[in-house]
Amino acid sequence: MTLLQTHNLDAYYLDFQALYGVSISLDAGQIVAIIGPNGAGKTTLLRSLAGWVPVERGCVTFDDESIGGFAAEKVVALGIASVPEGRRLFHSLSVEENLLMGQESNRSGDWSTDTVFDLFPVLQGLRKRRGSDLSGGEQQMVAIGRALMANPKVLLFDELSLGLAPTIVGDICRTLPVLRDKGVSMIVVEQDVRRALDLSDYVYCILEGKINLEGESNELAFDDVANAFFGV
Amino acid sequence: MSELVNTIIQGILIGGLYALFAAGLSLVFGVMRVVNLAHGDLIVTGSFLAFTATSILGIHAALSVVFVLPLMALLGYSIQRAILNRTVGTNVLPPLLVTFGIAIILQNGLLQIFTADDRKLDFGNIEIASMQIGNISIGWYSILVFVCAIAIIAGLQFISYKTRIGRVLRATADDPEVAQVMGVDTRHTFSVAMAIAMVVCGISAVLFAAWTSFTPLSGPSRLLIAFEVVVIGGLGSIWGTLIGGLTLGVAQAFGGYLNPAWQMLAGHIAFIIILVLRPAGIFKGR
Repeated sequence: MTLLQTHNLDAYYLDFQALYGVSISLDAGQIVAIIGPNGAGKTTLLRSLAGWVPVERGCVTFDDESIGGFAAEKVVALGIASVPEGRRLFHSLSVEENLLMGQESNRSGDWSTDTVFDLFPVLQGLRKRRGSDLSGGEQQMVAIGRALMANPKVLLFDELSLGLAPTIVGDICRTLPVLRDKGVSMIVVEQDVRRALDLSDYVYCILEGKINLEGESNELAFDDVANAFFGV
Repeated sequence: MSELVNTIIQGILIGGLYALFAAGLSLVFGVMRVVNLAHGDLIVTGSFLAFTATSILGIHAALSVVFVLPLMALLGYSIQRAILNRTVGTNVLPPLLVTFGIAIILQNGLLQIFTADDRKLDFGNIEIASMQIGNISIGWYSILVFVCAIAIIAGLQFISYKTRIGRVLRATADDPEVAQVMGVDTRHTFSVAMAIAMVVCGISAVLFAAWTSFTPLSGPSRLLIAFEVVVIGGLGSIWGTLIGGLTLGVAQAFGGYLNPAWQMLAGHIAFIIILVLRPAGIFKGR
């Protein structure tokens, strides 16, 4: 069942057109990866879905409802939560307070600070620390936990591995299937082609604001994806 | 000697009130990054609301808070929601211009309604009653003002760190964009911050209106005090605001002790010295 879709989405970043007629679709229980070089429009795509970037109403549908151009706080209230690029924790709030901010969308469900601490036990001991005192990996865990506190149906994950140590990235990637089993579908922006193919069910490759390759992750050849990535 | 001690105690006590002037300004800047040039005139508006309530209804001046505080909260929320929200996040100039305009509207509006006469609230006997410790006498009214100031600053601290709205305010101050992605209606949050700031203004407006007389043009001098306190105490620290208020109060009292004409001057000199020595304030915020 299709959960979240874009139809011929055009989006603008300041005065630049960043996306040209992009159509993607996310099924319930799926992990979709978006790959592409810097400036290709990956982040703009996620931001269009999350309500950061104004787009036309009919361009985005969620649960068969048109939600394009909805304000960010409305989008998350429908069940689309974000892990923003660069984590962007609230730096003067403690870890626990950061997590509680995820509940501002007032969606009911199973996620609570306790279940987040079950998922990332290391955070339990850091709950009183400020967001800015944590390592990059710990911050990413808080950012994921904060998004989960909204009890989302869809998680938008921008730059999963950027700036993180490889072991930490491995840890975080291993949590994605766990989350999928709990009913969270995901769109993940990732620059590492190999990792993106490993962790996802379906891949879109985006270049200069257009999709130039897509397919099931286990059917695409690495070389084809790498060529699409560089626009060869 | 006892006269000097007396002076310093007076300075400390009025310093609490100065801290209240500054707390609202600091809160609004901290959350919205808006320098509210109408802050002093909003305080004076609060004083006139109290004056009107007491003279029309014949109630005790202290009871006027029952009317003043909800009205100030409503005024703050509406100004933010209807006007200032349109300027937030642009750059520093539009909010400055808009709040400057609001200041002029308030000053002239108050002049039209109340004329330029001096007004004062009457708190009754407590204004002249004092307690005697050895050679030192301390007015009960100053003590009341100081206690109110401490209680309100402690209350603001409590709201900021122990309540949901406080958490949302601090998060929005950190990163309004991400707060919105978490589900926060930031336009509402900004308006609530302004309403809280205006309640604090309302309390200080009532207390100060009985401390000294006021006219529709008293706003800018209140604003100046609030600015100096914020700079002395350091932005972003609520207790720093209290220390800033006390510092300014004591400096003024000490200047006035040396020569009555030096009272305001001494406050400004203390402000400049601290600005030079510790540009980020005594308590550096986050």
